[in-house]
Amino acid sequence: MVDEISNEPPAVVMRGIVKRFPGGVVANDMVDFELHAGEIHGLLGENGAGKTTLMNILYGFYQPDTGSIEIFGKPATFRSPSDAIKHGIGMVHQHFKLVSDMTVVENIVLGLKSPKGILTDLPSAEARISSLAEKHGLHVDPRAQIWQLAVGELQRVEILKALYRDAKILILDEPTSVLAPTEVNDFFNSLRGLKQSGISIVLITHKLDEVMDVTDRVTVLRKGRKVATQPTQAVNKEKLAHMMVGEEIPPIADKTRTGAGEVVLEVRQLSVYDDRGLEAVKGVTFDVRKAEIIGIAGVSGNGQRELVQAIVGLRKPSSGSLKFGGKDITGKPPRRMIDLGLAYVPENRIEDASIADFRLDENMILKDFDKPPICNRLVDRIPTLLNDKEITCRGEEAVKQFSIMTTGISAKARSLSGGNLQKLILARELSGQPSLIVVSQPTRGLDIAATEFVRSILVQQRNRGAAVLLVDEDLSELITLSDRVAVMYKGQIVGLLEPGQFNLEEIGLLMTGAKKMSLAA
Amino acid sequence: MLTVTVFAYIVSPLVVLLVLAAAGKSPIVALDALYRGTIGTQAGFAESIVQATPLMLMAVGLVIAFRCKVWNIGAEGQQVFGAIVVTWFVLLFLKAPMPSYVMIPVALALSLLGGGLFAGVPALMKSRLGINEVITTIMMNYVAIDALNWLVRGPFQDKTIPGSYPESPIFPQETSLPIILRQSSLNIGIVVSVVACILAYYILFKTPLGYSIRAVGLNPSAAKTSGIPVKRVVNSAMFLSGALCGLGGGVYILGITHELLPEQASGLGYTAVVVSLLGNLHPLGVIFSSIFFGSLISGMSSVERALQIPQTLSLLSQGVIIVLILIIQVFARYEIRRS
Repeated sequence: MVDEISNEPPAVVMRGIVKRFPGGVVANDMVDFELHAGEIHGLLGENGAGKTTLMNILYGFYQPDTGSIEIFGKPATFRSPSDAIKHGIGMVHQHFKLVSDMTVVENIVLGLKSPKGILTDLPSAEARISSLAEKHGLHVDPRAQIWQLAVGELQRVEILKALYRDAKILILDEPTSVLAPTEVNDFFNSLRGLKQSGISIVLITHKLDEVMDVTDRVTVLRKGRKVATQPTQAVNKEKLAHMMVGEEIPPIADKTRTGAGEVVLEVRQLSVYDDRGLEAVKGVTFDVRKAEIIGIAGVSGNGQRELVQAIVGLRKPSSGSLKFGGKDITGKPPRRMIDLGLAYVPENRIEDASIADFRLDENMILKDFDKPPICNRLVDRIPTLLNDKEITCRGEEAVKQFSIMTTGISAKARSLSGGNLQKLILARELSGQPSLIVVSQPTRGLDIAATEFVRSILVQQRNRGAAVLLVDEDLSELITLSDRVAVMYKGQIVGLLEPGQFNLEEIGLLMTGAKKMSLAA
Repeated sequence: MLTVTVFAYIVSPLVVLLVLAAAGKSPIVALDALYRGTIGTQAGFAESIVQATPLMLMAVGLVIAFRCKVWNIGAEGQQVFGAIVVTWFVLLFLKAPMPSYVMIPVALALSLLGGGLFAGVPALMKSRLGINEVITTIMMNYVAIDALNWLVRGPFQDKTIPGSYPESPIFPQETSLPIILRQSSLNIGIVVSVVACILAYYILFKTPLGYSIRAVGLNPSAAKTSGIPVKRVVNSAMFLSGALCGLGGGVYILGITHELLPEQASGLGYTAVVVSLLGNLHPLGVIFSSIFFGSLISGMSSVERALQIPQTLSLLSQGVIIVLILIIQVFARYEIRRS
């Protein structure tokens, strides 16, 4: 597989890299990776495939449990990013690490020794930055303050920062996720320029188009393992999609078809803006019916998050309508949705679904702490005191029914592992027989046992008659659990697959925008 | 943790003796004066409690806001405004006061309401317009203090005394809080304060409102996702907080000064921030931290008199004590984490 083009040693050779995280997650499992000098190398995989971990190891952010690294033919061990920088490695993270009240020049020289000792030497730095920018077509005003710059410019600053430190190897973590489509082409041209001047580039991505467009070779990772490294010319999008998602569809127990019933949630021509004021969801229409799981597939950042937030009442839609159980709930607050029978399991369990410093039983009453039987009422109306006995009872019931591993209900939620926290959240959300369940990334970061548990709970709820909306980036899980699958791409539903039509390759193509189904209804 | 805290409270005043020794004063005399100014004599004890009373109310008010992560720095303005409202009410009945069982409850209720409404302004500015409450509450302090200074030289000024001092007429007897310890100024205000702390404990930990205040303070995002109306909760916390601070001002004027003075704004509202933190942001902890602080104020003024030292030196000592307690508490936590 190693194709010797020249006698030059490869820029990077990583062999047998293993990285385990606390909690037993194996992020990298015996991964080999080789970056040729002067190539653009795509590192492709789904979320959680281990791409970023592998590159964080190369950048010295993490130390591998086993495995070795060679840089330009010489063995190297990095204890911190500064070691890696000394070896000529630069990394641009997905989230920029810049000081917003400082100028571009100040940011670039930050942390470097000044040639003038304790005094800064900004003019000479500025001259060097300008010439670097000129040479590589990375145009940015060196005197501008960071907060004045657009995202595309910030990215150029980050790259200049690496080049200023004499980076020969540049790692870019999903660089296009923050760019507008029109900026992407310019950005790729700069990358080609950098390559011309001898810099080796790793492009972390999950977008097939980008791999095909700009890379020389591509390495695909799946679930922490390397699938293959191929010259880009030797593959096509279909092949890459296939390598990326695999083909096994694990069987799931107890999934008898029940035949979906009446419509519970009706989404009509829904449009939603994201935090930046861009239209993230563009006129989406679909139904979720009783006793079915409808899965939303898509690469993250294609509007799924905003769609879910609009449905549960956390984000006001800009147009279109939502009906829940026949009632119009467009733009209504979460409270109203919860009262109508919504259960919501958000993707960020710690931030959005639990209170780390509350006890387990306190976390259990988050949705109905002001209603009987948790809260006593005076003449059936005025809330008075909380019913401690009932709260304790609720907590103990949850721990028992969902077999949550804990020291007791008075433990803080922050003491729970990811799987047990998810169980606690499910216990809370599923109490009271909700008619609509919205779930986002329900098993992300969970171990196998907890994953199985969560999946079977979702199927149970569906069999009970709940309407379930499942947003999931784990495609095989999505396909296993869903009765129907809708695929989102750039804010639109580009495909709605009925049972029997599920085909990973097909979904992969729809997800990456390589194909679009014509939708009736 | 508790033992370490108690240790900190006992040891740190002793360190002050070293400060005084360094200033060339006899630590023995100082210790004796400190003892007599706090628990050694009835007068010292009464004065300690009297000083603790308004602090306790303001500190417990701040606990409610801080638990919601609303940084109310406006206790000073809220207590001053509470006192202004009380003065307005009392002056209406200056000539012909109603009996004290009417005057006192109504006056205290008005101080409660006044403080709450005064805090409501920055609360609305935060929840409606997103303006940082630290800035607005501090600015509202200036509004209240300047209003106070104008009122005691203008509409509320006692015009009957020649020479025109900046003060209101002395309040009628019917508005003085009843004394509960003979031969002292220890009044019923302390009972009001302790009851308020216990009530605040129940509100925070036993009612749905308190639950939502704590939930919003610990994780506003999860609270919002679960359907808690975050803005309304922030407003309620701020209103409650301001109301208790206003009551603190009311208890101060009806229990200690019996007239509106420019000294109503002597910085108690800022001290209350420290007291609430020393009480571990717990309504019951505040009972102890404010009594400790009241004793410190009373004890140090006794030391001041005994040693003939300037007030600045006694204030300096108070500062040293607070810093010491905070440091010891940090070490206590460090110990727990390591084991």
